Amino acid sequence: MRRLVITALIAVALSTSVALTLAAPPARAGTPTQLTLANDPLWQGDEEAAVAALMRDLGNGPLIDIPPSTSNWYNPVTSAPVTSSEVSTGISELQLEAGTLPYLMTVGSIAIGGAGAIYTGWQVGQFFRRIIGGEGNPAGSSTIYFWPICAGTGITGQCTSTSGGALTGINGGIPMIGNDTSTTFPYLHDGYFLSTANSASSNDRAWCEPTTATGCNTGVFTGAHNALMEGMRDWILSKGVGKEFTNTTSIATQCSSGTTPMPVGTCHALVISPQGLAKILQFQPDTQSGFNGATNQRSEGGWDPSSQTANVQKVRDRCQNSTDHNIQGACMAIRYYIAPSYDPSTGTNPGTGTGTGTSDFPIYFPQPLPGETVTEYAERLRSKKWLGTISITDHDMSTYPSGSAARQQQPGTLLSVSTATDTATLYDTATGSEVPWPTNPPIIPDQTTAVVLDEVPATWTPEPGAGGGINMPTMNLPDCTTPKFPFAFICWAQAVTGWFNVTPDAPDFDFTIPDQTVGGHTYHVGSHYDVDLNVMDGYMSTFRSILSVVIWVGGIYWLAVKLLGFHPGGDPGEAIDEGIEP
Amino acid sequence: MLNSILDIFVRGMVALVNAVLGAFATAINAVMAILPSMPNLPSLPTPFVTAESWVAWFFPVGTVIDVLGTVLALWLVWNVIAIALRWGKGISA
Repeated sequence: MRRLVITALIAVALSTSVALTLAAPPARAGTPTQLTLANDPLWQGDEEAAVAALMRDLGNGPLIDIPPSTSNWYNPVTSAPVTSSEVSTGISELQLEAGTLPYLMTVGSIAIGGAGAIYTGWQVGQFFRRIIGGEGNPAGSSTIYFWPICAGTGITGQCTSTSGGALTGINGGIPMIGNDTSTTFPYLHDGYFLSTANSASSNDRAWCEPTTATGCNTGVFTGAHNALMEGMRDWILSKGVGKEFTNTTSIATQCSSGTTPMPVGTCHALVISPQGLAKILQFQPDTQSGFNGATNQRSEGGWDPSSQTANVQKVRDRCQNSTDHNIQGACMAIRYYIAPSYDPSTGTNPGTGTGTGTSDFPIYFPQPLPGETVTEYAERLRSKKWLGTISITDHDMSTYPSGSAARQQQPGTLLSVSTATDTATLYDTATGSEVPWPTNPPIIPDQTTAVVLDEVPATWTPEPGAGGGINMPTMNLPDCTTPKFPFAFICWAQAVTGWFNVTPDAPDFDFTIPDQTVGGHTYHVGSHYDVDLNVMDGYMSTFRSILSVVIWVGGIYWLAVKLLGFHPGGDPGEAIDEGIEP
Repeated sequence: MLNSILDIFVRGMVALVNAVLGAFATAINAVMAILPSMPNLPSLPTPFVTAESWVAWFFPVGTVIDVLGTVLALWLVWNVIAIALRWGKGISA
């Protein structure tokens, strides 16, 4: 039986070691594998909150400014051209904000060569994909296809008007586009989404079916598309459904106007399923074949996974030269981390290179984490490149009623954030209960605006309760600094054993023999003698080491034989067997 | 409504756990408060320390102490484990 137990213990130990070895994360290969929807680690992760936070920040920011087409891309604060280093930093910060930094391969999500493909967009795509589940392809095949707008090309029931661009009835009567003449576009939570059709040759986000459209011109659907994108953004921000947005230009007008007008029937909408939406938000290719053939964001565009430097340069070039809203959105997101103090909605045009940052980019108070201290919160504020002063004030806890959640908080816990003009409190002063963080959080309007953080005073003793989660109370456990009976005996044992742990020192006998006087005669027998054995230090050190090994072996042997009952003799294997036999 | 009920339940459970922990801490602190203090050991005379160093030069006294401490600790651990092994008939009494 003992043999069985010992064998089982050894087996458990070995299996644990093997399991731990196998569980260790594999080293990342130097060249990342290509991301697909199936193996995308982000898809498997839980970055929804991070992406939502990212989108909230982006969405709450000022409107995207479009610099002149001939602009250079400047740091609006320093008025100097944005450097590659700044771009790289901005991308990294953006990724960090999105919570994807561990997946460095997603750097490749910033597609350059296509059109408007951006990391942020890819993140949005991931976000959408998580929400809508990636299901519901109406065609049952391709996730993306082109739909003629009211062309009457055999799509009965799905295109009811030749004048309004009202696509209805797709996949069970879910309308995609409402009556454009009413300037209202219902944005549906469970339907399909529209991206606009435009030029086959343009790298704009719009698209026209190249086999039927005789010509498309850039800008035909720009208004509709922008409205769609803005509505999409609002939808993301609110996490809501059924978002509506307006557009002042009818689709019909858009189709039939422009530099190269075309009939409504030849103007196509790019209809995409949720998968397609995720896809289109990942990249915007130049060609339909590229669109259909792309499986991930890296397969399109000019991203070079092997050269980060080249990619950064491409991003910068793209941001400098493009007027595409999507690209500018990405640039704004990146630039936010380069120059967060710049407010393009009211500041000078960064494209001119004269931006001085006189009107700064607003920084939004981040939502406090549960039980977050003012110190921790201040660090997060600093991470947003906010440079203002922080005033920490002790809250008068008596303002909260006894037993309330506020009075259960630990000292140092953040209770409210405020500027001179704006305040957000975490607990209701009257009831002491938690207050939901506002959808539109307070703004720190300037990079140097002073902030006041209200905290639980250090002298406050939290009331028992659920506030702040499980509280580990302070216990005066025994220790050797204030020895208490009977625990101090352990301290004594420790002290006594410590007496013998001394540094070896060679004996040194230093003595003096005085002269001896016998019968009036003095004999000089010597004066001073110093016998120091340190000349033997080297040898004695080796000797002590050998002794130490012998002592350790003897100690273990003694433990096994005398204390644990092993009885060696002959073959060591037999000794073990004898030891474990009853 | 369900969220509210769950929230109340969770809060109640957390409050209960906190109350138990608080009571436990209070009891520990009370016991520790009434235990008498023990004096610290005196320091060794310097000549004795010198003599120890000399002895240690000839023989690794500290190693002996370490081995004895380790053997004692392992022996105690084994005795604790042996209780479970005897209970499980893994070893005989």
